[in-house]
Amino acid sequence: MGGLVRNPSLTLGGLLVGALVLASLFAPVLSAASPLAQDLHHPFGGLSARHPFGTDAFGRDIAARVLYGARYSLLEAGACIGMACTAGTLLGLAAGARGGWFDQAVMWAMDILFAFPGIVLALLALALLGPGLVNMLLAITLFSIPVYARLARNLAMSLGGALYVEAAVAIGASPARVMFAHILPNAAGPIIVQCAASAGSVILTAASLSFLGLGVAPPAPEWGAMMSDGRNYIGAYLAPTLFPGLAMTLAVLGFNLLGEGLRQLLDPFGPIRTRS
Amino acid sequence: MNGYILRKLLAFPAVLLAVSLLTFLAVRMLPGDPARLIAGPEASAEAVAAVHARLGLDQPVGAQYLAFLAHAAEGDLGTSIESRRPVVDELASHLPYTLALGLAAYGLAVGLGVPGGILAAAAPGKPWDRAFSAATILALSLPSFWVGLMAMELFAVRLRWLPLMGAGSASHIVLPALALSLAPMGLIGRMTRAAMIEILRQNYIRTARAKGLEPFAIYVRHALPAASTPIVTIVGLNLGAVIAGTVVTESVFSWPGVGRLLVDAVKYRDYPVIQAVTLVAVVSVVLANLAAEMAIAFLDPRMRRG
Amino acid sequence: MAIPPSLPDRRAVCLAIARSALAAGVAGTLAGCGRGGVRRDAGALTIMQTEGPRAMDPANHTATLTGAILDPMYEGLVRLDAAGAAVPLLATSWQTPDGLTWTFRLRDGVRFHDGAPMDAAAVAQSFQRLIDPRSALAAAGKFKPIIGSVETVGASAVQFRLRKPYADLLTLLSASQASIVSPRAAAAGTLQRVACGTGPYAFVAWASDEYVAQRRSPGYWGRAARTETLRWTWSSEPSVLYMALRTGDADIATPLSPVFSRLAAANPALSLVHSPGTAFFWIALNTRLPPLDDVRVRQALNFATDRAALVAGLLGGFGQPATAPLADRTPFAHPDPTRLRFDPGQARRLLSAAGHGAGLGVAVATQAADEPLAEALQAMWAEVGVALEIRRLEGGVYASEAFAAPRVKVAEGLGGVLASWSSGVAPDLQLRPLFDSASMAPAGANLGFYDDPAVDALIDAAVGSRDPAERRRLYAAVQARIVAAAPAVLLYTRDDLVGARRGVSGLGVRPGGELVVSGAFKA
Repeated sequence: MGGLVRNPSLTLGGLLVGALVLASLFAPVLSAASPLAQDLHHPFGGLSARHPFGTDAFGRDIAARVLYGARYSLLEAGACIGMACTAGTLLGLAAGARGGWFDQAVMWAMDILFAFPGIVLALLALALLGPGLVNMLLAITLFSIPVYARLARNLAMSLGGALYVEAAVAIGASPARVMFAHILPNAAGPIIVQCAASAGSVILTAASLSFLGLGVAPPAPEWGAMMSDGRNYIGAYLAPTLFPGLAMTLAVLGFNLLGEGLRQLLDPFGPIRTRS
Repeated sequence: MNGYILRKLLAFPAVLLAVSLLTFLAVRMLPGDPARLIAGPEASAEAVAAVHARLGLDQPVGAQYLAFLAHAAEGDLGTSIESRRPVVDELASHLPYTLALGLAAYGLAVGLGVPGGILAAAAPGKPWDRAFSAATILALSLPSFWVGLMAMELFAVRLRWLPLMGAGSASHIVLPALALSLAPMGLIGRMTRAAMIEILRQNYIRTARAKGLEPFAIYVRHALPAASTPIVTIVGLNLGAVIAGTVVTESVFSWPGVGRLLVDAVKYRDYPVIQAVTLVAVVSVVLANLAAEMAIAFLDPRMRRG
Repeated sequence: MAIPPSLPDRRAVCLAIARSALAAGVAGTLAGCGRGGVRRDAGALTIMQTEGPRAMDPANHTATLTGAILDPMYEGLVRLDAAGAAVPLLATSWQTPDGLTWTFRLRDGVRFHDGAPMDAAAVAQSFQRLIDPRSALAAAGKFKPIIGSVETVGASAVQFRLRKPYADLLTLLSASQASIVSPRAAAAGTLQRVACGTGPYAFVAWASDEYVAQRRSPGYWGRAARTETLRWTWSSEPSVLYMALRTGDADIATPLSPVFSRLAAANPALSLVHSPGTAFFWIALNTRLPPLDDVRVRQALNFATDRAALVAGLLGGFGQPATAPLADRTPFAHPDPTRLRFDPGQARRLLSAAGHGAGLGVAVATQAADEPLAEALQAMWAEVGVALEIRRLEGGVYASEAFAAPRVKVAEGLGGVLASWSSGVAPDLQLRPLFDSASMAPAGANLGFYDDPAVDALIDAAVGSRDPAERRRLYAAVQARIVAAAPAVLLYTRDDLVGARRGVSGLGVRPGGELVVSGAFKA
């Protein structure tokens, strides 16, 4: 109990993220209305018992859409972070473990990717692949990889790097085994913290892309897309924009707090710094 | 100056070249036929072929890239498919707006974030620090376009203190700059606080305190110079975030900058513009990082020795 | 400035300097930070639309909003009055013995803004560049099939030789695209960016992305306009148009979105001008792409569409459900409410009969502005088992996809194109481009490749005849055939919605939504 109080970030963050997961799982139970059912004769309905957050331009229940929208945010965070972390960590660990030209090449490639501001790279990727949810996830994953690659590589280096692996190989261990059995567990902490910390920004970027019209296709109740719709009515009706934004702020805040809390827990002194 | 900086400077053209090649290839892979888009939907096959030849699209990719570099060296970055104006003109007319917005937002973020972070680090755990931590993490979590929209509703529609969108006058920059500055402000504030706390923990600071030096002297003569390195790093690193942020903010506020130009270009499949704006964005980030590194080298005696 | 030595005077002088500096500072601040920072004087009108102009050359655009901007600067041979009849403008009289040859007598003493005289040669040149086979002008396609040649008859008259009898020629000549342009400017190639016509207003400036400025032309032949300067701006954001009206940054804003139109109507400082329009919305169905090649499927989609709900929800009531391929306002419209009714049961029956009881998918290309319409249809069609996939496209990409050839559309699986069209009050200008087989994309706007020789023949006959009763009969037959074949899902007509600040008078709206401000003024 004391631990929870001592780490309010972790607690609060955990609660918010937990709420996000619950909303995603139990949306059909929590909301009687369907997020897709339109009622064109009653658009922009005010707040009421039946529609706690009102209705949007098509008469759809905003509360239901906000709840179902949690699924998209969770999917975005989970898929992008999962893929980027896995790919980036493997790449970075391999680079750190092998050293030499491979390390130089990977880091140089990561530097190139780093030079692109995230959303610009995502826009380029989406221009290439076309709009849509899956393409958006791929685009965001792409520009998230360098962070993990660099982090994992630095951790691998600081945990002994190529010399350590050479020595282990000399006594008969395989490089892969060294990587996974020895380096990875020690590197896990900072990497997990990074995951939680970047989940929030992934959700924000995905929402931004949907807001710009390049992400999910209608009628998906994704928060960014909802705000994009609502934006046409600023000055007339606030609800279609207000509530998805509030939900998104809480979700991102939750992940950011979670990251903070995990950092205090797992990695209090920051990733071991090396000259890259 | 010293080997480190020299190496970085020499690497810059290489990075630039690599990025331009990457962008060039990526843009060539975009779906659709640019010649058909330029010629228009009612053009005949011969007209489309003529545009193909005129743009050199039938050449091998390598030759096209070299031609592109040659043109770029002369200042010709192609012609926008949508507006039919030279891309350089489009950039020239849109870039100042983005620079103005970026600088305004950045100024706000640094101007409020750095002092706030320093003050918070001065009294860790105390009320100001707690409030600052909460405020910064909230600022990081707010979607900038949502903040923009809410600010519009409050300040432009309800209170009518500020204009709604566009770039007609000086007061038009206030809302977009505010919206754009929030997340970088939070980030810069938190990083500054962390860096300051780290420095204040150092032995020489404790020695200075033990010696009975006034807090002001401690900060100004000992802590700040040491903090300048990480702060410059932080400030430099976040420029990329500000540039990225302008893309969305400009769309929200119909601010006529290159961010909006890029988004529109992606929607219209305007390849020359996509290419040029991406290059500009990347060059800015690289230049900013370079400038930050040079500033660090200048400020930090440890780095000077290479 | 020498300061006198005695103390009181020096203080007085310093005070005076300080006072004037303060006044200057305040005045400067007020001037710079006025709401929006725009100086508004009584002799100026600011008009805000949702889109900037495509060109300053009237022949090189097909956009209503561009037409509105060009209207004060250009004139055609004739214009239409409120009843839709042609009245003299640059032509003082006309005659045609057989409907094939038309002779127009031109007005004397008219000059273009650059000083060139408006004479027969200028008029002939204006049309020549439209009907030239090599012409790449955007509007050429409207005139080439109809006008064979234009020749001068002396210095003050021109003669049109048409390819076939065309009863709506005067309506065609009243269009923005048929405006007479300065031959000097046309030859110099500057018309794209610098307008030069004969209208009551002359071109001042076009700052790309920002505004178009026009000033009253002192040498205008007709009655002088009442407002000295016109300033056109634009914003694609509906909220901005409404806010601009509220703050006074715009005196006139159009087209106002339905949501904000309601607010404008209720706002005592503003007024709403709304008239039944001819902006017609439909989805062109790809008749070459299975299963849309089956007429039952196409009819089912029409039955699955609740037009009244669309008008209520998306247009806020500011529109009319489609009851015919022609808008209500268009002469000879032939309503068919039986065939064009909302009947999901019938839709399902037809789909089952066609073998699609389990459902089917249709991909529709739409522009960003029309996406809400597509989204509403998506939910409606889902009720009968049709999954509408929305392909949101912009600008040139949309045009490219919409006008693609059959081979391309089938390859991409594009089942429909959501489009809108305002073609004034000539039935031929609505039916021919959309439903005639000669107008099949990419040559014309028959985006679904509808091909019915009987319809082609009826369209030609109807426009060739000069007997109203016969035309009514023929147009009724055309529309009945089109509705039965269902090459398109006919949706609705949207009212023209113009918001203005109270005190602005003299506004006009042409059928189709084109704003006429050349007679507008602020009281």
